[in-house]
Amino acid sequence: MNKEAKDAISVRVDKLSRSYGNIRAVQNVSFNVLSGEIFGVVGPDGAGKTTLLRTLCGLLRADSGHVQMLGIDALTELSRLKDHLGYMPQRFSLYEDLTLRENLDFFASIFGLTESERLDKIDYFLQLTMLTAHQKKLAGQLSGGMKQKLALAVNLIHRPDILLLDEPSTGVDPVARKEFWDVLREMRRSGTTILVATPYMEEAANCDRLLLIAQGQTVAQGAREEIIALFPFQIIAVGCRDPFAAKNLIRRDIPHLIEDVGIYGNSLRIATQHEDRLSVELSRLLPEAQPLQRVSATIEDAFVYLTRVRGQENAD
Amino acid sequence: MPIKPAITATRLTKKFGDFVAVNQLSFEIGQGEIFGFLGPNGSGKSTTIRMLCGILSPSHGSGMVLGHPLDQVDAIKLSLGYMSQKFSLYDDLTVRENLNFYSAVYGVHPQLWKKRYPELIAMAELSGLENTRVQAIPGGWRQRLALAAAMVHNPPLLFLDEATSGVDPESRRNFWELLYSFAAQGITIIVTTHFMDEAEHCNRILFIKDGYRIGYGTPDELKEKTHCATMEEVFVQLASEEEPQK
Repeated sequence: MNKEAKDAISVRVDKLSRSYGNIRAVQNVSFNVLSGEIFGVVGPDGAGKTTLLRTLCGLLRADSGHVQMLGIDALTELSRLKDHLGYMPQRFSLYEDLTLRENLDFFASIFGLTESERLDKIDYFLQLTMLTAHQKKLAGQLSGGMKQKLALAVNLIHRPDILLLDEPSTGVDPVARKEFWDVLREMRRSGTTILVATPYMEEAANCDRLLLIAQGQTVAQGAREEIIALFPFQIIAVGCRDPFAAKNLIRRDIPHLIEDVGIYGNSLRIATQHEDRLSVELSRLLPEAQPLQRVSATIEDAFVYLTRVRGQENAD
Repeated sequence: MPIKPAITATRLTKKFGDFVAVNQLSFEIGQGEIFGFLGPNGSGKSTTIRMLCGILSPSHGSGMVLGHPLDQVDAIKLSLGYMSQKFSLYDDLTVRENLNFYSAVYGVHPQLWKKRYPELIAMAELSGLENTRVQAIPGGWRQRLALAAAMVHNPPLLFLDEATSGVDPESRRNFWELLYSFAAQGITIIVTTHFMDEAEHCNRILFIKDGYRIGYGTPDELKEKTHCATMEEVFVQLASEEEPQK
């Protein structure tokens, strides 16, 4: 990929909306995906992620707004994009009674790859997804994690410039998930633009930039650190023997010093603007507690905070 | 570690033909503990949980669940609540109808149910939604309804099988608040999950691979032992070790 292409915008979404009857699944959402980045669309079930992805790849019609991919109007000229676009839906159908290699060969031929291209690409993607040793197995015999990797390989076989993935890691264990993300990072290195939807805030760490979405609306967008920086409180962790009792004590005695308090395993996690006074009060309230530890806010803290703020603004 | 064990497993083993799904697994779960079962797909987690629920009988070894040996299946079943990832709710029935249905399934005495029902509605914060069909309520509420449905018979032991993922973070935090309050009342909670921030919520964890116990302790202890900063790293490291030691 040349240098100019690197900062180019691959996907440009402008004020996109889509409703089902009176349910506004996607409302006025705008974002850009840069060429060769991994862009995460992160939000809970029902936030509008799937509707958004389906609208981008032409499976659903938008009510209003614009989508450009690679400079082409995706809403009116989708056929020009077909060869450049890959879309892996939540439940991607593999042929369970065909082997891995047969599945790849079938999808490669659908995309019009020549026989020699097919051989090359199939070997390459089997290797990349570490499935070479399993190529003669039936797809139906694979574990969930391997199936996801095969589905990914199938969607990469025509070397799309832009890949859309809808919740690829749901139901997959952390090892398989890490391998899956390794493949995505490898594809990014070769210039593929990747847009991935996930309900898991943790997975934001794998993305270059993010769109946080809830109830069809943008909550925040930007790099993960930029979004976390919108969270205005300090977070303190305190290990204690009975976090449940300690939490109730804190809520009762020093509510004015905390924004939020929650239990996290064997410790409390407290959001505060008054760290010094809190630490004095805590040593009085919880003499047995372990020393306070400053911990970093997470993308989930930012998400919860920003959706609360927006909820209050809407109520006003 | 809490004093009184709710569950003990001693060299619990399950063979399917030549395949050893669970291999001499020993552990203890304290009353009122939130205890996580972790491991890769196919590690033996589900088989272990099925043995503890009385659905599968062990090939060797023994276990006690709330004072009952594993072959006292009926007594065990009455004392546990089970909630899975696919909340088993009837979308076209109302909140009230769903709970009534489950109370009948678990054979809750009508007199007791009169008292229990409003408790559950209050616990799950579902008042005002009682006559609403399940399909019309948001994910977070549906999750709490599924939890209420698993608890119609007031079980002292709760299994949550990947039941905590996918809902919005605010609801998920509320859900964990509820679980911690149950634990504080002495209810023992067993959690399986593939998401490691959920694992951090557990008091202690049993890590299983190829049927063996390869990790057992608090999240902090496991991190210390493996020299890892996060549970995600602990998982990847433990799961990639070649030969699990016995």
